[in-house]
Amino acid sequence: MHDVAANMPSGSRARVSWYGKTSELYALLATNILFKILTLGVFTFWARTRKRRYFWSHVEFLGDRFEYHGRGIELFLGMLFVAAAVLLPLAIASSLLTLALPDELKAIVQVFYFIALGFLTGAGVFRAIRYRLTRSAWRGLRFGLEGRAGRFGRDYLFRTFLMLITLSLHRPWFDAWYYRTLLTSTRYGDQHTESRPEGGELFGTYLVCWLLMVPTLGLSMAAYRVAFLRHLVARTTLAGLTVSFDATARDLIFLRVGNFLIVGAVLLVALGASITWTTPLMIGSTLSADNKSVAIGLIFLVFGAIAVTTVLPLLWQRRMRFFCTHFVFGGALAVDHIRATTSDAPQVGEGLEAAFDFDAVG
Amino acid sequence: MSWSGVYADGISPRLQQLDVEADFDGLQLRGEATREHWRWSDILAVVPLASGEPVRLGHRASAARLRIDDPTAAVALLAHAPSLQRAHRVRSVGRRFSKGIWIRFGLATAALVFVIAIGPDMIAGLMPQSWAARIGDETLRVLAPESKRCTDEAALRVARDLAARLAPTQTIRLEIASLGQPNAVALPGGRIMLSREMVAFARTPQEIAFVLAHELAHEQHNDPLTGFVRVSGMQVLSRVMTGGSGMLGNAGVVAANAPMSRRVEARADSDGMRMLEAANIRHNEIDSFWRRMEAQTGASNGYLASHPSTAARARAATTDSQDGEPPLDAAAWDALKKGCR
Ligand SMILES: [Zn+2]
Repeated sequence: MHDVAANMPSGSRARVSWYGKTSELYALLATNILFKILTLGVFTFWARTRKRRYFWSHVEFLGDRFEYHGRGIELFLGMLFVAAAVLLPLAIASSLLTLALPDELKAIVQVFYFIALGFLTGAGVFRAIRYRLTRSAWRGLRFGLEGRAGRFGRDYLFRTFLMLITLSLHRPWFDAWYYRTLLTSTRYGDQHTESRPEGGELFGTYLVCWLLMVPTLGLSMAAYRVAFLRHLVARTTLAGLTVSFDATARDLIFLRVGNFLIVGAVLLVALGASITWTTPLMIGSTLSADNKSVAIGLIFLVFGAIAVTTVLPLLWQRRMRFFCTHFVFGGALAVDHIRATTSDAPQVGEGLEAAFDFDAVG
Repeated sequence: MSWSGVYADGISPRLQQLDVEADFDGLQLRGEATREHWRWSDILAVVPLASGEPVRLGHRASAARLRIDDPTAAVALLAHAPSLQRAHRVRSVGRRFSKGIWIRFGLATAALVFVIAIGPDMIAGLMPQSWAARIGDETLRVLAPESKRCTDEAALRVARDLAARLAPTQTIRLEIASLGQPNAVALPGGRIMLSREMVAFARTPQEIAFVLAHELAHEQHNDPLTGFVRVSGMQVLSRVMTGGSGMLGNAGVVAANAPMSRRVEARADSDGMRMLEAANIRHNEIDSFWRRMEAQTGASNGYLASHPSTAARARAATTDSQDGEPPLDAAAWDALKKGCR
């Protein structure tokens, strides 16, 4: 794997390796939370940057680590611009519409909201991915994303609408469009990824999973997810590298059910703790019944947030290990065909995506 | 000291094997096609150097990367350049911001500051009365649904007449409802909500008159609508500053809003007293009302409090004056107490 001369000869297989340590993840999380509290949340942008720098630099491929070059100030400014140019006008426009329109026309505001949100979510995802890729490097060469956020946002809105009216049966085509568009726009140096997933080929699998969704409590979707990922990677290449995904639906279900059990267990502990902690408080207090339930709810919310936070590094570890184990690379990286580019990267980033709490690479 | 290293030139991801030799000035790189000298001050750590781990270096002036897999290299290099213990931002992407960014920064900050500082008063002043009434009615409905409202006609008439005497020129819609604690709220558009608990808590008609006068003073200054616009704006700002992390952001909004809110409350207290004087209504014993309130709900104090401390409000309200008429006669007081407690 570390064969220098050929940079991974044809026929060999390689994986991405994850070297993150649980203890370091806890230290990272603890300091980030501490600074967030001290700054009333403003540190968020720098916290996110520290986390990414750690994650990127602990992922290794063919002997070399990934690099993250983003800065907290870029995220902060990105968010500020989005707030001033998009969120603020949107908030003002929608509250004015709500106040000015008679009740019968309130539905118009809903439609307006749906259109704005759909478009902005799509455009935001595109911009966020472009930001991250332009801040990512390997062996000193940057990644990038070509194309227009506006067009992606428009198509995203249209396809979200199709998803709604087809009760999600449009999903395979949506996924194929989504990853095809993003992957073919992705480049490493000057080399574009090639990707040709076809939604139609997955519809049969999807339909079965879709029909089984209720009896299996949604677990059947893991089978579709795995089938889709396999289909996707089989049709994706980057500069001579091929990819395969060797996990089964069972592996993915184990990952998800395991995460669910971990979170469920600590939430149960948190619930128990908040009940024991609040009982003496409640018995002797003059609060009304309504206020008591609000107080218990709030305390549980705080305890629950603390509890989930304490297991976050475990969940990160599980996810990173899962994906690093199951993606297998073959073929040969055509190093002689790849050149660094000097094309422009956005100066600030990610405001929209952060505003809508949408994480595209989760 | 010399090791075998792996080098990528930053233009292509192709790796070259070369010899790396440390000297006094820096690292000497010698390979088939490469002959470079990296000075210590130009060398950056792509990953912080740690003993026993491969060394991963970059150069300040290019995107070239150098890796030394030999586990002894890290310690030797740290002796020459201790700063390699920390990761550096490598030059290939980290760039300076252009002038345009700072102009946008200025504009965006101005827009957001406007929303918080000057905007609320202006927007509240410009908003048509019917819109304010709409916001008020909506809040009223959320705060106290019909089922929680007092419907006793006689009691409501007593309270509404008293409000009309205090503020004859204002259009007020007064409701009494159960809110869980002795309280009163002024809402946009002249909507005032008095809690049943407050009616029960009050020992004299003066106390009810004072509470109403305070809320009416809020309405006179359009405080509820201004506050509504300000808090809405601040929520947008807190989203920006915190990237949407809810709990901390809300704490920020409370902290930022508190000083302004305390000023507004103190003004409503003093203007309320003036209103009582103008209507020739007796307003003694207000300080004892505050002391009892403190005993019941606990002291409100400190920087984060939205109201002045109860002690301060009691001090401000001290008066022995027996001037003026009682706000309500015995029959009216009885009707209010019996009807909406
Ligand atoms: Zn007040």
